[in-house]
Amino acid sequence: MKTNTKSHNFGFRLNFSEMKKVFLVLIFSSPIILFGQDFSKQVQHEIDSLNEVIAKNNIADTALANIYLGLSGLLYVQNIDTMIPLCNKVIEIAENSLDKNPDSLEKIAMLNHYSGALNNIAYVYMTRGEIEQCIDYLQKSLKIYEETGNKAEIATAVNNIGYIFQQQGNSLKALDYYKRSLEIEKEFGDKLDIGTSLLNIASLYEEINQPDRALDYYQSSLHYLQASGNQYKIAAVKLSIGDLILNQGNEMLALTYFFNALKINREIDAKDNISNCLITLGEYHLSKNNLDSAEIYTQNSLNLRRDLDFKDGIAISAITLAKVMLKKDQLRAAKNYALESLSVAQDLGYPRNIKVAAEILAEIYEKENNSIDALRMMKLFIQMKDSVNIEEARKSLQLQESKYQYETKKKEDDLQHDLEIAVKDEKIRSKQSVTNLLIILLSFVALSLIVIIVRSIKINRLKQKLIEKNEENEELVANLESTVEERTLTLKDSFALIEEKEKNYSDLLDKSSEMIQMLDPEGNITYVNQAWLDNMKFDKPDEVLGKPIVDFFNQKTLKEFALVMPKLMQGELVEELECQFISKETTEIVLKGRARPIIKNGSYAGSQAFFFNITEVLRAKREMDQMTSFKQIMLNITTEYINAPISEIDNVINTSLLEISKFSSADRAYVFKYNFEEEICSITHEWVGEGIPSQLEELKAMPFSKVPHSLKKHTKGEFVEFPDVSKIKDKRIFNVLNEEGTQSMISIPMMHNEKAIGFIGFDLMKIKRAFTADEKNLLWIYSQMLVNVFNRIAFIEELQTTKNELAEINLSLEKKVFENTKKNMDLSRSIMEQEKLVTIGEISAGIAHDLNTPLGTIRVGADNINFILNSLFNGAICDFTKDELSHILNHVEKNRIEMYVGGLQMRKEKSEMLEYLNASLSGKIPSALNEVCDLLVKCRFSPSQEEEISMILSKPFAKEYLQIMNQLQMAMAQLETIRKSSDKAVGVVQDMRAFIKGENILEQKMINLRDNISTVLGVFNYEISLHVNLVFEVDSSIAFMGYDIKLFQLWSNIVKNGLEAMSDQEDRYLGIFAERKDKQLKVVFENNGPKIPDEIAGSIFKKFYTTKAKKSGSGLGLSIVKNVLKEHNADIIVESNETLTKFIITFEI
Amino acid sequence: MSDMKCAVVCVDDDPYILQMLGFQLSKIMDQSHTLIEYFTDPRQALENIDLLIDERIDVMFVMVDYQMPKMTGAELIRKLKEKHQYLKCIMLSGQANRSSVDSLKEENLLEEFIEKPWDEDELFDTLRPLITSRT
Repeated sequence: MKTNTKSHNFGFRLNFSEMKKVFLVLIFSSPIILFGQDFSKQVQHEIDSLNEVIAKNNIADTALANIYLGLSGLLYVQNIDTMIPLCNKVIEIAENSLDKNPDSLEKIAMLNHYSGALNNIAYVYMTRGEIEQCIDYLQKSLKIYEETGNKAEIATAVNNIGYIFQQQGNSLKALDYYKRSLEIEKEFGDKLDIGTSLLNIASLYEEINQPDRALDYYQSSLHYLQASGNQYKIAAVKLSIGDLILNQGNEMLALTYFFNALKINREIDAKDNISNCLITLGEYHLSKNNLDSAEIYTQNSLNLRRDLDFKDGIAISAITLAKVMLKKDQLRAAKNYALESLSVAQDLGYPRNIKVAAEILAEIYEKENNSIDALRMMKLFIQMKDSVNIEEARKSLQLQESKYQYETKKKEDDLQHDLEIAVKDEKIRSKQSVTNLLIILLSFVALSLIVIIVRSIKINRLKQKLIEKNEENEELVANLESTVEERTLTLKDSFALIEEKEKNYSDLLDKSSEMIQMLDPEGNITYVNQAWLDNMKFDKPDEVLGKPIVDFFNQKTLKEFALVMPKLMQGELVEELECQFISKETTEIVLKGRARPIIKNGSYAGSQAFFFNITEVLRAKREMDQMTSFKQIMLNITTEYINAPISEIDNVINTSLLEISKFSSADRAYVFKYNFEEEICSITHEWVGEGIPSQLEELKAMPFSKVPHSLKKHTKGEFVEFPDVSKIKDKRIFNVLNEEGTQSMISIPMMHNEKAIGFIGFDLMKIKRAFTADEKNLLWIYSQMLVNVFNRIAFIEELQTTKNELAEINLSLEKKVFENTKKNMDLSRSIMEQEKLVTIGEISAGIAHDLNTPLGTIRVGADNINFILNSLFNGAICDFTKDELSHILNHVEKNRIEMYVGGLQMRKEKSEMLEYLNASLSGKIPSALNEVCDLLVKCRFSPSQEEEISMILSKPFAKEYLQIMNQLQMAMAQLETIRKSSDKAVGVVQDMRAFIKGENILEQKMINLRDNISTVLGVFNYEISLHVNLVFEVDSSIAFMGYDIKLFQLWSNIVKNGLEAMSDQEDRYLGIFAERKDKQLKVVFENNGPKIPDEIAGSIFKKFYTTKAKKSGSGLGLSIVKNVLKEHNADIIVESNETLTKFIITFEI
Repeated sequence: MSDMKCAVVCVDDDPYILQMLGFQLSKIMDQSHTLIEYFTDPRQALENIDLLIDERIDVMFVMVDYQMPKMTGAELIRKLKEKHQYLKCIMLSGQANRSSVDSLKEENLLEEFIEKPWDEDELFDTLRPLITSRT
């Protein structure tokens, strides 16, 4: 695929330039090939001069035709519509002229113009795509040429027809014409034309994918072209050859051709072909994955093509650049280039490029997750592919393939999308669910509290009523007592009256609302009133009269009776009597009242008792108490549910079942859940009383068919209630419950969103009882509570899952972040390396000098020592004893001298020495006083060293002795110089090493600020010592923890920046100061360079920002500064005015 | 001191260079007639050259290092030539300062240029004509 695109580019390029040439050659008898920036200027000039000629009258037809033809050839560049009218004018003139039977010379000229015009019109038709018309005109043109027998023009016309066929895709016909043209050219022998024809054939072979043949033709074309000296074409052919060779795999050779072509094109300034070379190199580097080089070449070619407005080229360069950027992962840039290429290609109607652009864009959009645009591009890509590929099968196969790819991708995308939405929803939902749960629980607590409060108000009211009733009763009893007493008194007082009024009295008793009974001494009932009968559910007195009262007693009362009777028999009143009777309906009735004996004639004659039935009152009271404690239990359970952790919930449920059961006398309590999908209900929790078998195992999966009744009721939100199993009419239900020994049961649905998700049930085995409305209300609340609990569990589980998913996502994100960080670190490290290399390059001149000087000194020193040794051993050294020599050596060792004492100084010293010698020697002047004196000065003796001087002068060979001493001194001084110089050289190398040294191991360590900055100044020593007034005031005691290499980079960037800023001025000042205050260290670098404009000061630390684009620097320097500062927890401020620019760095240490 | 007729002056901020140079110069100079003066500070050199000329001592030539703090060799030479038009100046320098050396030469301010590091024979070849022309 790639090679196709490439070779196509090539064919196209060549054809493009060929085509121009073809027509221009035709239009002018002497070809003018116009390139580069002078193009329009030249054209304008031509046009102006031609217009000038037309303006003149009386010019010959031939000339006029020639001018019109020329104009048509020039103006078409600006406006192609001018071509046909102008050419028609030429044809008109030519036809008129030919009609007049002109002389042969003019005829030939006219015919040439005529055919030229035809050719140019053909060109217009070609650009419009009207190929038949085009060929028609070309054939006409050819015919005329054949008439005139102008072989060169015939060849060109044949060539042009071939070109049209090539454009049409009819390669064989094109080849035929090209070869014909070649034959004619060969006859004619013009090397340039032969070369061009060969070139055309070669490009055709290349187009029809016969690279070997193409190469052969290119080579022979090159041969002819080189002979012709047409550099432009030579370059084009070399580029084509290079491309073919590259495809054959010989990269080095191909590159040689490419660079050769580029060089030629640069020399002749053929911008279009330069851009072709650049894009070829760009594509080559892209294929080698040398992305930076690829970017540079491609970018340059694109810029050039933009300047030329070479649209096809722009499309190709832009898409190649897009590929490069895509590989570099710079999606935004890639997209922009690809879009530019696409739009240009679409304007041109250039399917191959549209295809490639669409492909790239699809990939980019996919990377951006923009599946809609990706699909759009994919479609465009396929469309273009269709138009490009002829083979139907291959086309559909690719269509299928890309469709499949797209669908897979789409599916993945959708899945990804769904997942994202799900995760998002989940997050929202879990949040909501927790909130909901809280609201529910809170509202439930509130509800419970309200219910409880309402209940307790009711209870209080009932209690109040009860008390009131009690009081009423007591009052009544009291009243009655007094009445009775009164009456008894009356009876006593007027016995006769009693007899009389006995009947009235018994009426009164009968009608009393108090239960009144009378017993004979044996305890048999003698009288009961109507109230007694009513309360005991008897109809007539006969049913009970004569029966022993104990028959109506329950066990407890029976025992108490045994205590009460003796009291009565002794004639005592028994007050506050409470007893339980059993009514006709065998229900227990609680009575409260008093009894008194009946004494007749002083002996016990039975008893009389007055009771109130307090059964109902007691029952109400008991119920109220029960409800209160039930509520208490519920409240406790609620609190536990809210507080319990999720792991404890099952225990809490079981405990709550136990508590409710105990309270409501249930022997079994259970929780079931409905599973509507599988149509089963399963027991989840159970409590059973002692001796009751557990059903936990057997009821794990009960089909719905077994519990139709419950299911029906529960789904409607209703209770299932059987207060008395024995009264169940439905046989099936009865059988089931009866078999288990259940006497009463109740089950309450658990409703969630108006749907029954399960139920709670209570079975009573030992007693029968109905649940009161209050109890049922509480159980309902309890069931809802369980619903909430189950929801809470579900939510918490979901939350956990979501949490886990999130954690996983986080983990992968962290991993990505880590990877990216690592990548960035690697990048910044390599950027730092690069910056370092740039710095080294910049300071290399200084380094060279710093090394050169000491090395030179060392060399000279060596020469000098050589000289000294020579003269030493050729001198008088052998005349001295070992002792003497060692004395000399000793002296020299102890008295190091400076060798560069000026002559004036020496002169002064010598006169002093001479004076001294003359005085001290007093006549014993040695033979060569002047020379000795000279040597003494040279050996740096001073008159104060009397002893030593006289010792030396006492020697027979004092002069030679001093000579040797002086020579040795000089040798020593040279050695010292060599030593110092090599130290200096080593210092330079060490500074460099410190700068270059690998920094893969980055560890913080104690940094001495002065030393660290000094190293940097050492690197820049050359420039600073030479030009800069340096003020370096940093206290050597300042130290802090940091990365030394990075700090080195920091200082060197700031110093370098400052030096560069000052490079254009004479007076250069660099100041470095440091100040430590508490935990802050302030380091100031100031220079007197030009003011940094305010608008730049803000962006100076951005990456790649540089104002010295042409000079040096990648613009990374100050951004490195920023990174280093970040790593050291430091800040930088730039203050710049006309006199000073300050970089103030503040470390927190 | 009347026998001292001539002098040569060497200026370089590096004492070791002076030491080397001095040693080499002493090989071809007749020190009984010629003073060899060394200065590490160009300003001091300026003063002392004035002094020598005042004493009517013929300064044969001045050897100046290009690269010095406070004042470059080029500046020093310009200043010397301002005062003493016929003073012969020789520049010692590394490759790096070729352009300013060239501009000095173009202005006829510089007799000779010796590249650092120098070869002794070359040094002598350059200096000999300047010496012999005096004696």
